[in-house]
Amino acid sequence: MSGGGIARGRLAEERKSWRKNHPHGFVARPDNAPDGSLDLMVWKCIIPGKPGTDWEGGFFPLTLHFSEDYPSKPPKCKFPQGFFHPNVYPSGTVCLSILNEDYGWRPAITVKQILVGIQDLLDQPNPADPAQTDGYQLFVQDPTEYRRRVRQQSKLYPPTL
Amino acid sequence: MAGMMAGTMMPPPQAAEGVTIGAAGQQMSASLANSLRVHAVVERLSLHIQPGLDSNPTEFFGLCLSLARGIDFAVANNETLLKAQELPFLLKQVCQRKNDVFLQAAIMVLMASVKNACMIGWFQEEETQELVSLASEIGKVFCTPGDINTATTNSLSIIPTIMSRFYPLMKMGQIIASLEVKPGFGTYVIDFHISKTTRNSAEDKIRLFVAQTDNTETSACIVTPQEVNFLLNGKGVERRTNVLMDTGPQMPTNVTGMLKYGTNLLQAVGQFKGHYVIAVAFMSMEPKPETPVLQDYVQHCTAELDPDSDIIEGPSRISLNCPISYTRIRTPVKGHSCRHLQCFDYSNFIDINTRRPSWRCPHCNQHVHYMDIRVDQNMVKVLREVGERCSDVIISADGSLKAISESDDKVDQTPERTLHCEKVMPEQVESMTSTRALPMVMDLTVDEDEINGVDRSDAEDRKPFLASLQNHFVDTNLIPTMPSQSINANVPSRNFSTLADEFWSSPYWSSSASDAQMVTGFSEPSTSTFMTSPVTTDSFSPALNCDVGGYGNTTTASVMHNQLSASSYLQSLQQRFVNSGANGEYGTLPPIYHANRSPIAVQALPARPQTPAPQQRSRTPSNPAISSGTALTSPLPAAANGLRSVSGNTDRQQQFARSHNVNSSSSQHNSSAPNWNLQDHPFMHGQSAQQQAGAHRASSPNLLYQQPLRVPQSRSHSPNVVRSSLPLAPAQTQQGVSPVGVGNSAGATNSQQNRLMVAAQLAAQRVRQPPSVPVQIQTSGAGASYLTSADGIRAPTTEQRGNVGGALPAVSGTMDLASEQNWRPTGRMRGSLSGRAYSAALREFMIQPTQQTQTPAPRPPPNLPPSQSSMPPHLQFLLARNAQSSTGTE
Repeated sequence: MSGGGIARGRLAEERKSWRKNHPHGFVARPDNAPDGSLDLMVWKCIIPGKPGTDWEGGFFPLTLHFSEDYPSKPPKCKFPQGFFHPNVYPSGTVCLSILNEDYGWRPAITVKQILVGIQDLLDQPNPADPAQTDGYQLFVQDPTEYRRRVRQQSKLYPPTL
Repeated sequence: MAGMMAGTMMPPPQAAEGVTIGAAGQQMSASLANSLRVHAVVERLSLHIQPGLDSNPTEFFGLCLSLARGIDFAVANNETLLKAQELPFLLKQVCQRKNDVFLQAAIMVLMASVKNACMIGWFQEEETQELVSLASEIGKVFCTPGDINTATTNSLSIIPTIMSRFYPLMKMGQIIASLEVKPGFGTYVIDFHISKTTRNSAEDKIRLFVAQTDNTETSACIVTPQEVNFLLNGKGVERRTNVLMDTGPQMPTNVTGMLKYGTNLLQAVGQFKGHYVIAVAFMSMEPKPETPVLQDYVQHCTAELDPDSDIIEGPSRISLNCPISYTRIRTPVKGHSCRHLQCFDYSNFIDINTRRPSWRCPHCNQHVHYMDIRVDQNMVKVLREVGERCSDVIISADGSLKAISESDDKVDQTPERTLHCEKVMPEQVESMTSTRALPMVMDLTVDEDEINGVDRSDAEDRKPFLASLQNHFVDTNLIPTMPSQSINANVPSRNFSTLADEFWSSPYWSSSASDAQMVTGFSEPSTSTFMTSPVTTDSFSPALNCDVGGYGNTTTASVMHNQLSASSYLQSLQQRFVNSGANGEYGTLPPIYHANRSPIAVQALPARPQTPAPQQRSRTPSNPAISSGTALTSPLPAAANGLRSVSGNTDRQQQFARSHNVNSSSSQHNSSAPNWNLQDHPFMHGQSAQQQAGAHRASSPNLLYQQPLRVPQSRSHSPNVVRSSLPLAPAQTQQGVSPVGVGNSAGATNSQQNRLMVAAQLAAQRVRQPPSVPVQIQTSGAGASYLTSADGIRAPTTEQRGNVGGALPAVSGTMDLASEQNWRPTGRMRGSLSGRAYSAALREFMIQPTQQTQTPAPRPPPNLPPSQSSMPPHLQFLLARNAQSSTGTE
């Protein structure tokens, strides 16, 4: 049906808009399908840690999975599995209000806004809504260790170029 | 007894014996044959109702079903039986026995058919009324609320309103059946008839419409009740059961493929949090109107009207692109209560809401249903005036506007070559790529758009509970359920992941949600399995819970309970940490398994016509490599060990795990079990590992689901099952599970109390040897597995408890799976059979169930009595109904 057309049409526009203009340090591009063409439904992105935070220096890979119901439904955003952050599920899925269909998601939210939103989330975790135990407990109980882990993780993801 | 049964099942030619055939020599038409058969059945049945005669309840049961079938057949063909006028008397007599627990179900089946006959005017008015009231009286036995309204009710009048607001492109035709539901827990059952003449046109689909009537202003009213399972003919309706629950507003589900001509059954079971109207109706999609008739938007000018306001509206930049598609707006609309200047495109808005009827403004997220849409004439003008290249305008408070042309078009003109697909029309792109991005096998009975709409990954991640987090996992059961989604990390053997990669090279599928599917190793997810997935059984769980004080010791009952536990487990999972992995798993079960599963849905009823699996499985019928294990088990082919593991501090009756003889089901387990755990249970992370030695095997939870499924089938749903169950270890044993012989699962049970129920099926050729069951399990290395499930709904205290999992022996059921077996840890848990040998043996074994399931005759009668009496009435009804349908008039 036309809904699927909408998803891809919108993603094509997102791509166009991203190529025109995007925040510095960020990468977002549709994944390569096995046949070499672009798969608009999966985007490989990189989110740079914000300067001045423990996340600085990290370039964190994020994958956006769009469904045919996009933009009615938000994409699923995933860091690598086991990503250390209170609001990231062990699977790597980011838990963020604007990415939740039942909460803050609106079709008008762009890929750019999603990525910037996630960048903000990195250094501003929401302890009221934990998604993993590891990150959450350290964040709440042992801030020193938490920061150490964050810095350690940032080193794990150096710039790719 | 068997002889009599054969009599009741007699095929038309036999029935004709002894009956004077008026049209001798003629080719007997199907309807004539049916008529004759009914005649014979009626005669036989009338013997039973003669006073003084010692009526054999079993035969009586069979005759009722037989008669129902005959009536159904005639009704479906819009015929009137020759002896219709004789029926009412007989039926009334029959109904006098409605208090007989054993016969209740059969009489209900019969009366459901009779009711349909009444509707097409078989009987005189007076008798019709009497029969209908009799039918509804009996029907009430099968529902919790006594006030089922099958007739048109007030709330039906609200349907057009809801349709016009949320399904504007849908036209509702004839309503076939409807229910009005009150808040609270309820079991609603309604039967309805679909005659061959009913269907209007090919475009018409029969859809299940569910809406809350308390507030129809927002799309929240078309969210399916989250704690309610809908079943049609015993099968779960996709995305309306707790196996795959859609938490958002949805379109009326196309259920055409789940229905049949003749009598159909709709059930809605669970906790309703409001008034609902449920309807099964013909609906068709209409094309989007080219020139919609829309009211004009009236600007809210609060800032100007209110001089005291602190807010002064300055110039605003407005995009001329639709926030949905980010392409230029064609028909600028917004909600009548939207206060922003930004518009969106009418057509896009309708499109996305035809897929997913959220009906919210894409800009401000405010509820905007179809009737709220307004055209912004100002914007129409702006769009007309500014050039095509203008993407934004700045509108000042005074209404003047300034166009901003697109800043940088150069980039657009030199796109990378790889971007070519962007240049293609979106529709084309979709067709090119959709096979990659979507599940490849679709149930053709389901509309494509609906399949696409299923986002399996939705439910994937669930939050840990703060409480449990803070407890530092004192209790492993408290597993916060942070699933590790990718199998690679958790699965002991990496083969798995590679395998998965091969199967699922598409990125979409390699997303976490689909990991479960990968594990199964099947490349063809079938959406249709949703329908037949265990969900069905859940629906009964509440009922069982309510109606059966103590579950019987009968196997059937235990089967049900197991299913219950599965379902409750599911529920609890879903409530807290369900992940879609589980769902996905079901959703993607390969057809081969699908067949096996279907029985579940049927509630241990005879095989249904469509089950392809048995045949497939038996394709290596005589495999020489019968292992000792199988040999051992063969005498008890269908014996299922009901192992109920009960969580100690919860209501044990509600928690069961089923361990059952691997022979019958291991292949399934193998296939689907693993993923589930991998995804959902943190114990895979090792956090809880200490308590769960068997965790790696991780498959047990699945087993839970599978087994119930499987059991019915392998036993061929014969009621016999019921009888043979013996509570092996009636006492609750702590940690006892492992001793229970299921050595495999030693670590898995934790502190849960387990109770092993062994059900030995006593069919004619079967022997009762309960003790051997555990033994078998061990020797065969096959899987006894059990799991302790926390029942979220019924046992609130255990809410925090996760599933402890169980141990699943590594068994490779099918060839496809053989290689996957590697992922399981080997070692002590593994039985004496090597995987290949075992799978061979298994395949060999699988024949038996197949054959059994193929036997068409409904067998309720012979051994039914015990089981029937121990089952709640709904189940009986379903059983009976399915028994009826399996012999199939269709």
